[in-house]
Amino acid sequence: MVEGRQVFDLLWLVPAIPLFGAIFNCLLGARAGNLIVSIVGCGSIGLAFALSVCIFRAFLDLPPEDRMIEFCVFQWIAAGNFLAPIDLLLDPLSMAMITMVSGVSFLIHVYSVGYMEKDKCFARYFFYLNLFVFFMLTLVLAGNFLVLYIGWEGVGLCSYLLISFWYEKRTAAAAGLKAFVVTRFGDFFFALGIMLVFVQFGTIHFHSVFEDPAKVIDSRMAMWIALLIFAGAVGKSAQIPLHTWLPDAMEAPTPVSALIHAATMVTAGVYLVARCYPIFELSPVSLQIVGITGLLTAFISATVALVHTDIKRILAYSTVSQLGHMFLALGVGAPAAAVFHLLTHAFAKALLFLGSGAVIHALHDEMDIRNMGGLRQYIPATFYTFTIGALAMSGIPGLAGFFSKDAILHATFVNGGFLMWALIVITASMTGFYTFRIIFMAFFGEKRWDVHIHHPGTVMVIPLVLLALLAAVGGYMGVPHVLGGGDRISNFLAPNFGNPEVHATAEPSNKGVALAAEDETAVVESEEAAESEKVLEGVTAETLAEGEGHAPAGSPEMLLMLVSAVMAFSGVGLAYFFYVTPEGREVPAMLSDKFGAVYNILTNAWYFDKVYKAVFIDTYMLMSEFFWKAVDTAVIDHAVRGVAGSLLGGGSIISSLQLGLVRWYATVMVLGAIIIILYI
Amino acid sequence: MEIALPIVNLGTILPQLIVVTFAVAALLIDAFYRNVLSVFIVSFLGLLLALCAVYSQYGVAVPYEESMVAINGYTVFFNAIFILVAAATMFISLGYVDLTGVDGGKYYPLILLATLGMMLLVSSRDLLLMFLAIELLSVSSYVLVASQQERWVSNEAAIKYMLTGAFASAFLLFGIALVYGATGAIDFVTIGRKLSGGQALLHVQVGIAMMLVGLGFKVAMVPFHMWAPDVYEGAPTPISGFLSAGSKVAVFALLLRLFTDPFSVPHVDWVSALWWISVLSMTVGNVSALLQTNVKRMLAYSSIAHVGYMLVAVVVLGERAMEAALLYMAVYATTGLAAFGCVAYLSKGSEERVNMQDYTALAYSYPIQSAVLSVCLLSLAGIPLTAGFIGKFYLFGAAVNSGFIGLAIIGVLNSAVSLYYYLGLLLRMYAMPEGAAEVVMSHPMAGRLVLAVLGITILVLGVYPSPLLGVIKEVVAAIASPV
Repeated sequence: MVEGRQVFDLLWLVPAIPLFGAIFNCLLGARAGNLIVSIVGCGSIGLAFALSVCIFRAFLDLPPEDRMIEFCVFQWIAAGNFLAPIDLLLDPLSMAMITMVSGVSFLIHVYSVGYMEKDKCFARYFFYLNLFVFFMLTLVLAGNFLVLYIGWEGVGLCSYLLISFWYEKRTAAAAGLKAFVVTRFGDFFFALGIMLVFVQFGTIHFHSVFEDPAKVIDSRMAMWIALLIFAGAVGKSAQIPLHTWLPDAMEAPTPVSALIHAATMVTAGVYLVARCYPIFELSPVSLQIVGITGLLTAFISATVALVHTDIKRILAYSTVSQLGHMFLALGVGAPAAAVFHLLTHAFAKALLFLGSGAVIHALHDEMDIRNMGGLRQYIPATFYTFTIGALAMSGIPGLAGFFSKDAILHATFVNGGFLMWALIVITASMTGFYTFRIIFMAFFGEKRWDVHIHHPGTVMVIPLVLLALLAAVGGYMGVPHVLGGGDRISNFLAPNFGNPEVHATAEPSNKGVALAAEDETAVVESEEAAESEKVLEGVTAETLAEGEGHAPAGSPEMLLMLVSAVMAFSGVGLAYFFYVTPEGREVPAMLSDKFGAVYNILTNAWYFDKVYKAVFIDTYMLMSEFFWKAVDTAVIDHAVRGVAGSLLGGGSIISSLQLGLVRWYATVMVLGAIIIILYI
Repeated sequence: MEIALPIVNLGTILPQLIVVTFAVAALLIDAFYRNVLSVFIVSFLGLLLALCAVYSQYGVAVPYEESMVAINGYTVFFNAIFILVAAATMFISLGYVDLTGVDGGKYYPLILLATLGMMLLVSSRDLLLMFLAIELLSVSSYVLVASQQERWVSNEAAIKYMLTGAFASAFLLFGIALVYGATGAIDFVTIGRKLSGGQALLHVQVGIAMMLVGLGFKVAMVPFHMWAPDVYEGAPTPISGFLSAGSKVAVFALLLRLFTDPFSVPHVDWVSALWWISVLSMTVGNVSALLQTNVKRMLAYSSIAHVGYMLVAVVVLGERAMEAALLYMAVYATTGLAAFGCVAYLSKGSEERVNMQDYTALAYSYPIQSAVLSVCLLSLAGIPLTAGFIGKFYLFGAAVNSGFIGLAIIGVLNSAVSLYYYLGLLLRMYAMPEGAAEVVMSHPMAGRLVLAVLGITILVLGVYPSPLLGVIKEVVAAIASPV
């Protein structure tokens, strides 16, 4: 216990080590050379990861009711009753997040060493990347809204810097700007939400706000706070209507897309809503809005991904769609499922992005899948790992994505109704289609390129393999009861979200089994170190074997699972038919001819960008022109010049008093003394 | 006839004794060996030992009734600041002294003597010792300002400083005489008791006003500020920093104490007068700084503006204002010293770099000095994440809390005006270089290191002020309890 405590005292080091790496790479990186930069860059994240794992182990030894550790690093500002301490909060949610963030970041850092080796701004890249990890860890470890907001804005800044990393490229600079402005739109509301929390609760400390919010606010106020906070999440997590920045953000170097725009930063919105769940729970309306936003986003962006031809943009729309899944889960009362999907998606999507990076790297920056093909023989390691990622993403049974997606589908069916469920199942099938469309077009068929292949180096392949492992087995932390698993992730997160109610209500008859399974897993849980894959694998093999024994066949959950599996397979199968079999080859072109209108809507991404340009940007330009000419030049400039002029004039009058003569100085002193004496 | 020998408690004045001993020792070394380095080392050792002695007094209390030189949290806090300022000034002078033909053998011991004056000033119990301390400080300062004998402006500045300073001392002495005449006492405690007893007499008020003139001159508050730009410009640059960080803070600490304790009774009359002086100092300082093309003059006017900010605390008074003032003075001492230090370390050979135009694109030739100077400028302007922000935040917070909202607004507006000239210099330093880069002068490592430490301190205090705040709260709580 004593030892455990000591480990927790080191918590602040988890964000601090990446910060150190960032400072080092910023100040000395340019002189130190690429080798040292990569050692410091990856090493600092690796250390942070190792430390998170140690903390995780100690954390699991604590009884579940003690798994809430607060840690005040220092008091930043204390003025009257306004306190702004820098405090950290370690609970199951943040524990899961820091382990995932530091782990995935570490792999992506290692991969970056290979991917960026030829870049002349190697040190700047690692400076930004380390800084990003620092802010991201601060965000998820925050113990109050202020610290969370610092992290929130920090990751936004790093995202901007990294999207425009190749700033000589006009499109990259524009994309960075767009991402910054669009997310800032959401951040504005988020900041308002924090202020509202402070006004209502008199504190911004998570523990005091979330302990029992019903005492302080009614459901109406909860709705306002929840919606303001959700607006921030919508911007950061690229949900409709603020999703347009994410596809453009693909101008960033590919590892950045993997890290920031797939695995970590974009999931911050999900994390935020999950963190503030006690407030959302008070207001059913806000949960409905969250759920519907998520559902629409999931569906619409999946349809766009069907027709895009840029490999990274397909993945970007896919990310938007998967984030939609998570918000849907939050909306239908399954926050644990949302976090579970967040974790499995992080592994799978990071893998897919890194794999696509390897493909792009191999083909000398070619991103159009129409110009790929037949890559299977040339870069086999990338092919296999990419396929595992794609299988996991599509929700093929047995891999990570299946379990988390199933948890969401199930919760949607129980709490959201048939229509929502049907829509999300169709989306699931589209996921299978567009992911495998990439595989079949890029790795199969005849080669449609003519360059010398760049083979990915070992530093790039190793992270791919490790992520593939995680994507394959990561799902076993949440095998549902119905398959004989323990749904450990929900149990683990229970201190945050309460017990997994969905499962309990769904199968009252199996309660006994569920409880028994829970007891079992409690034992397993204390032994496991969820991060080391070997242990995970062993345990899950065990639980799976047991599961086969007493899985209640024919329960509704099984049936739902079956349907979603069938839909996923059908998507994959359709992609195979369209892009591999000779008979199917003609179909896509035929379809796009026949349904030209629909096809156009999809290729234009539902016209979001065009409408925004017409409604906001053009109007804004007109307004700007008006304010520039009529207001700024005519009124404000004159006023400012007037003030500045009078200040400078005042300055010159005062200076003209400064004659440099001692007798004049003495005179002024005497005058001043006389005035003071007369004054009193 | 029996002469009552004074009881001297050596422990109480140990830090002061150490400083004076080492100052004399250093002067003797200079007289016999004429080795500047050993003078430097001896002087530095003296400061180091004095710092240890001051540290050992932490937590000790010798009240004003018992001893001519008191010890309490307030004196310990400021003595530590003065010693640190003096030590930093010495390091910053290292290369500068050799380059500009200053006689280092007299220079370092004089810094020690001025420091002694400052230390006695905050510890003094009565008007007599206060006056002696101020004179010790002033005379040492006059000589320090004149220490570049071959530079014409240096001599001119010293003469001006001395003439007007003597004039101010006359005011101060006359004020002391009037107060003494009215109360029949020279120690602060008795004066305070007498003043609170009867009604305020006219000649007490005039006496206090005249003392305010004298002290106001030393801290360069408007309208007694006229000497400051000339002197700061003419003095060797490290000494300009020393004057603004050390001597100004020392006299201000005394002013704050006088108006908190013995003079607080007829205080009612003072609020509006000090209010106007504060506003005038801020405004005149900032507005005049707008037009300067000479960096040292600009910093001089900026230091006048900062006196205006500090005076806010004297207007507001009370425990929170006291905390804010102590914090602000500590922050200002660090920042002002570092800013002048950077200017000293940006010299071109034996010539100082004072013209704004010469600062264009300096950041590419002198990255460390430019970075530290930028941090100082941002801190002086009160930009968040620097110590200056925290200082202003607490100061104006205390003002708003006590209902001086107008004063706080004027203060914030003044900060906005000041941004113009602070950021102007900053932008110039980071502008793209035109033409060939100049040959980079190498300056001593030790001084650059001290500057870097000061810059980092400013940043750290801006992010993590709680340790310093904790000490200040302790100090204020200790002296707020009735003496």
